[in-house]
Amino acid sequence: MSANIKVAIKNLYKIFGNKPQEALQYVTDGLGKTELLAQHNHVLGLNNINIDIPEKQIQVIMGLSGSGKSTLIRHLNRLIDPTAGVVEVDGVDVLKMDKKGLRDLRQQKMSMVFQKFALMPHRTVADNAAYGLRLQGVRPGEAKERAQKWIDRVGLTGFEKSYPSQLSGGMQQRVGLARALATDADILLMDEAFSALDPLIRTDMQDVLLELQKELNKTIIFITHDLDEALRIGDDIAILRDGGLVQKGDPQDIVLRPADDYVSDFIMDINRGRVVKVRSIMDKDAKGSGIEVDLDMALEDAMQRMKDDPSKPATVTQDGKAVGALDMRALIDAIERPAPETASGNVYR
Amino acid sequence: MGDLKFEEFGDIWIFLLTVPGLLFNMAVGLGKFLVISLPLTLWSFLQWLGPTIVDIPVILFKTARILVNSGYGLIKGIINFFLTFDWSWNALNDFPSLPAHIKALLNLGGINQPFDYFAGSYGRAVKDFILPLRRSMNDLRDFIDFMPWPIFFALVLLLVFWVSRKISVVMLALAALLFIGIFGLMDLASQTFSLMILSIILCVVFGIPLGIFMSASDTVDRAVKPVLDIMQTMPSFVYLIPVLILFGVSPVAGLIAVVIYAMPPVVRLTNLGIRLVPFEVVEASHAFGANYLQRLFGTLIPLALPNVFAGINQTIMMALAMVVIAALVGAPGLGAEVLSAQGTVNLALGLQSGFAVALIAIVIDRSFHLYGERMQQHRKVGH
Repeated sequence: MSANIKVAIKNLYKIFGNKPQEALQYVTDGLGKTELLAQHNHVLGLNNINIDIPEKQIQVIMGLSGSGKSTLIRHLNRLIDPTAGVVEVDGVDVLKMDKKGLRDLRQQKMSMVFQKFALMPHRTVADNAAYGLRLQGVRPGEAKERAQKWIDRVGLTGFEKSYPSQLSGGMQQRVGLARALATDADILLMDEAFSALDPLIRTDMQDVLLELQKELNKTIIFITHDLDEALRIGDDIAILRDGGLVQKGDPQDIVLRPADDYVSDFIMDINRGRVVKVRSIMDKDAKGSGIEVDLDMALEDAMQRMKDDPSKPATVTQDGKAVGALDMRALIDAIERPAPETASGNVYR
Repeated sequence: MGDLKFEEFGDIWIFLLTVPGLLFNMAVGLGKFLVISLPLTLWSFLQWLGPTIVDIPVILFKTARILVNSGYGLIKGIINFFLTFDWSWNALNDFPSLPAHIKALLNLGGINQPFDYFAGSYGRAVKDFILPLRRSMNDLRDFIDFMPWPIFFALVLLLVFWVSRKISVVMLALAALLFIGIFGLMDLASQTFSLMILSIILCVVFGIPLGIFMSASDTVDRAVKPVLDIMQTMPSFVYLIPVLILFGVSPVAGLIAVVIYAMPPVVRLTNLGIRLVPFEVVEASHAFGANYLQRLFGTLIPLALPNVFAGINQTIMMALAMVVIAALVGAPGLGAEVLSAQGTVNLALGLQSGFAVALIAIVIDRSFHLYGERMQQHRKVGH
């Protein structure tokens, strides 16, 4: 990817326990999470994480509970201090910042949305949304005005004087989103932001986020344990397991070329037709004779178009020019769920 | 109330002519209390604290010397005990306590030394310290005393209504006032009130910052908690002894005793309230770059307030419970009346004053309880 690197995480380790530095030695010597806990009574939170996060993209970090994803996101604004490693934001090492620098970073550059909303229960919606601005030192009147813009954007107009406890979960998280956006930070950290919401409202909020992102182009780091959510909103996905990075790539990479059994197990049940794009499976050398499909079309949609005349391969176009062909057979192969034994002879099931 | 006798004037109009003067006196009394006496008290306390802290090493050294001597005596005593002990079955009848001559070696009386040193060196400072306190008490008592009773009643009832927002509690307060008035206890009650108000102000002014300090540091928390336990559980007569030596038999001695006994709840509950603020909310304030003071005043204290108020309420209750004991060292008011009733074995008198204290306590408790409930209500409306 050619985009500038906004956040770079290098050789990051986090070990919880009484003597983390000592335990770090064992980890770099190759001791795993379970062995470290059994032999030395230290918990391995993060194990040698290296991720470059390009700007203006949604980077999803995914993993099951205990995989270290929430720990990782808290290292970016140093709510948690690492045991070893480097976290660079715009080329500046966050870990070398003093208190003042760190406060500035949190006020100006990074804002955060939390799983449990974490709104101030004693403040109204308007005051909650203006919280970050007030901390920046913006005058109350101006802060209120600027926060109001974001309250309107997330669709909470009319609820300014309500208290968080009077709102539903989805609405509370909209307040959380407005609070984070109001600071005009370039980086948005979202820690399982939608995980506590009902499925329908979750989809709603994902739409809100994607729509805002189209316009704002922020660098969003989004933590989730839900693969569908990750595939839906992520430009790039990193999968964590037991504190280590298992695979990083765009959604199609993950689905078509899972790095190991753990990942392939993960992607077993997802709808490939919706994730995989024509681009990934087309035959570049062949020429189509049937209907035209776009390069960036999802397979599901391509199938919809091709079903009337499945015998002829479709022409794949980019900006109106033909660049290859898509055979119905290849399309079905790609959408088909891999048989369990070919997916993995695995130990996780 | 005490200073006004209607029959002396003979005419209600003459009484009304005195009202502006009375109001002026009231205002001056309150003003003096708020602007002069209270700040002066706090200031002289700080002045007194300074040299005391400087001299702490001396006091500690003397204490240490005594402890070393005592330890030496103890070891010697134990050795002597084993050398001289009469080993027979009779020895099982009583637990072997130390013989008197060995006890003398322990030098238990030595604890008096550093305290006497303190009292001797700082007698003057202590006097300076209590002077404005005494002034505050007098001003406050004058403020209540100079007030015509209808105004006092109206003020109290309005205050109760403002705090509780409930007519039934106001009626209860009215009943309490009538009871106190009819039995002629108003003067004593006003003295108790001034003692209560001042001691509660002192408890809050020192207790809440201490609670905040405890919540900010686990070390301070661990260090202060046993002290609070001792303040609450040590029989109050024990710390009345040094209070008596330092302050003499006076209203101020009573005040200090009340403050020592009543302060722990507000400290504890401030600490607890801040520690119980949900972690996510605290984390959010970190994540948006709040510094400690912004977090303290913007998040921690507002969310801890219900608990802090519960603490203040308990402090008031404990202060009221202390009035009789404080009367032993010279605190005036209803407590002194109970004490004299006990001395003369006069049940009727004791019951009157006792009920007056109980009624005051119930009114304050109900009002504060409702206040706390109301404060939480506006946040915890379900959807």
